[in-house]
Amino acid sequence: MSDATDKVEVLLVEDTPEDAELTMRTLRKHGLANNLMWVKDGAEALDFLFGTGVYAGRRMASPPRVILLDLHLPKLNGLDVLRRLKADPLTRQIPVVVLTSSTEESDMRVCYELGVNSFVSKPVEFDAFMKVVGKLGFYWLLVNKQPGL
Amino acid sequence: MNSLTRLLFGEKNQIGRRLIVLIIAFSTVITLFISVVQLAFEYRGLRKALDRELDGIAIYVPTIAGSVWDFDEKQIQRAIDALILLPDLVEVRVIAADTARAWVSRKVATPNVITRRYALLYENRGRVSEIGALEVVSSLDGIYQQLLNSAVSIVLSNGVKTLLVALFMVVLIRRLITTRLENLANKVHALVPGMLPLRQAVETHPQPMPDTLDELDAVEWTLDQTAADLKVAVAALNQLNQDLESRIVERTKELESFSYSVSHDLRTPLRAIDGFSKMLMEDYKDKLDDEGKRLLCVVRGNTERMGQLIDDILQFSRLGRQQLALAPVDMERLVRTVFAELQPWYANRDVRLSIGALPPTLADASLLRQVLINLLSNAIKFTLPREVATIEVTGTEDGPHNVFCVRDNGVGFDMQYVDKLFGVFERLHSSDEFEGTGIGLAIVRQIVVRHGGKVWAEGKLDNGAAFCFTLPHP
Repeated sequence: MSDATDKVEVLLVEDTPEDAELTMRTLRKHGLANNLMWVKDGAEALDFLFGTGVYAGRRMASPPRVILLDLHLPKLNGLDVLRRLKADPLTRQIPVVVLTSSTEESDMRVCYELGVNSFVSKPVEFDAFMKVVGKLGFYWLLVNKQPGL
Repeated sequence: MNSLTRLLFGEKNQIGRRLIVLIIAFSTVITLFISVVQLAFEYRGLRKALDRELDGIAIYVPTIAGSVWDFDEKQIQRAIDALILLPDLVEVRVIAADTARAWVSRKVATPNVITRRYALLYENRGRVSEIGALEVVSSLDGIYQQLLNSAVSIVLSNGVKTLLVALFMVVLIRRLITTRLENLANKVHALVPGMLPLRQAVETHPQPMPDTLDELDAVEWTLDQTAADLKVAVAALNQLNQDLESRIVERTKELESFSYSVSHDLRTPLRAIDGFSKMLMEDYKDKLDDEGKRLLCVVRGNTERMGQLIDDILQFSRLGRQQLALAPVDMERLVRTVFAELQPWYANRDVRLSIGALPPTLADASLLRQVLINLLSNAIKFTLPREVATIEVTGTEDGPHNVFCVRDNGVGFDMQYVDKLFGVFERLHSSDEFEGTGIGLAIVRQIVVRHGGKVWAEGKLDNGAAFCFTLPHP
């Protein structure tokens, strides 16, 4: 594995390439996408975080500073990923932001029960979407403090 | 004869048959008893008449006594020949005491007779002595014949009378009671199988009514059957209810997953359309002419609109399953708060709100808030052409309900479309005139109806509108 995967700051878990592109474009515009890793489903996300599967042997010196997690994912959905992350002491402290199209209260409730750090609905309108993603990146990467950094 | 009995008794009329037998039997016993008493009285009467007749014979006794004293045999014979002519007498005898001489005159002898004896007395020098006797034998045949005639006529007339009364009663009872009982039994019998679902009806196939039952038995039998059928029916209904209930749960889940899909799957491509249009706009600004930019703006405008529509559908579908958290609500405060929050929508306009004395009401505060947001933002929207927009919120108590109205001096509407106002996605204005998806009033109605209230609207084209709704007292 290259060095790039070792110092990932943002892990984007998103199956829709368009949404991923829009998110990355926005973060890039704010200069926050330098160390961004994009995975397309829940299984790959877990593989990346735990260094298994195709990511076996990855040096996991520093965990991502934030995980942007979609809920509606192929294979393993976002809630399963969240459950695994928050159940494991190794990954529990990584901030997870659920970034989803869902506005369902039930989704919100389950996410918070599982210990999500933030729940954000993706606005349909791109301008609003850009604002939200920009704020998120700004807050989690620049404002928020984490131990060991 | 057959058709006559059917006319009188109906097809079966078991009660009628039994009744007629009982009536005739009872009536016969009574008639017999009365007849016996009647005949006894008549017998006594006839015997008295006979006695009186025989008493009358006494007037001949002195003459006959004279003849016997004189021993005038001719005269004696003439007297008894005359006496024998009297009705009922069958034998007349004169017996002389001293000589034991007897003179007899008789008709045909009969077994039933009574004999009357008259002493023949003669007075000689102040001394009365019995010189003989007159014996008269009277037949009872006449009396018996008369009694027989009476008996026959009594029995005949009473019998006919009894029979007629019995028949009349049977017809009457058939008309008044048994026919209806039969109908009742049939109706009850047909009732439950008709109501059962087909499968159950086949299982509890209606049993044919036994022929031996009379009408009341039939009703009872039918009721028993019906009770049994009802048990089956109730069980079937309960089962059906459970099925329905589980189906509702299933459907609700389906609906929820549908809303979920709508919220997620429809938004994602929409965001891509909007985002990539924006990217096109930004990255290829130099290569697009004004018309190209305008077209892209149209794409983005419609994307936004579709996003709004999806949000509205979701909000509307969520309303149906959201639990109501009822609590007393301070309406005046809520109206002020909502109006203040809507300020960005009328920032550069002269919009004047007047609030009457609003009674407190019982409602789910967050839903009621939505009602007021929709009604007030409508009022703000449709007063746009007015230099001074006035919005008036009033509330009155009306029986168990409060009636609230939001009035404005806006563009109003034509009352012939009033039924369309509260429909989902129904709009009376084009998007050019006024923005909106047409869900606002549908949501208002949905919320008010869920509170057990109702909504209505009044308006006049170009002359303001009023939207009213009722909510329960706290």
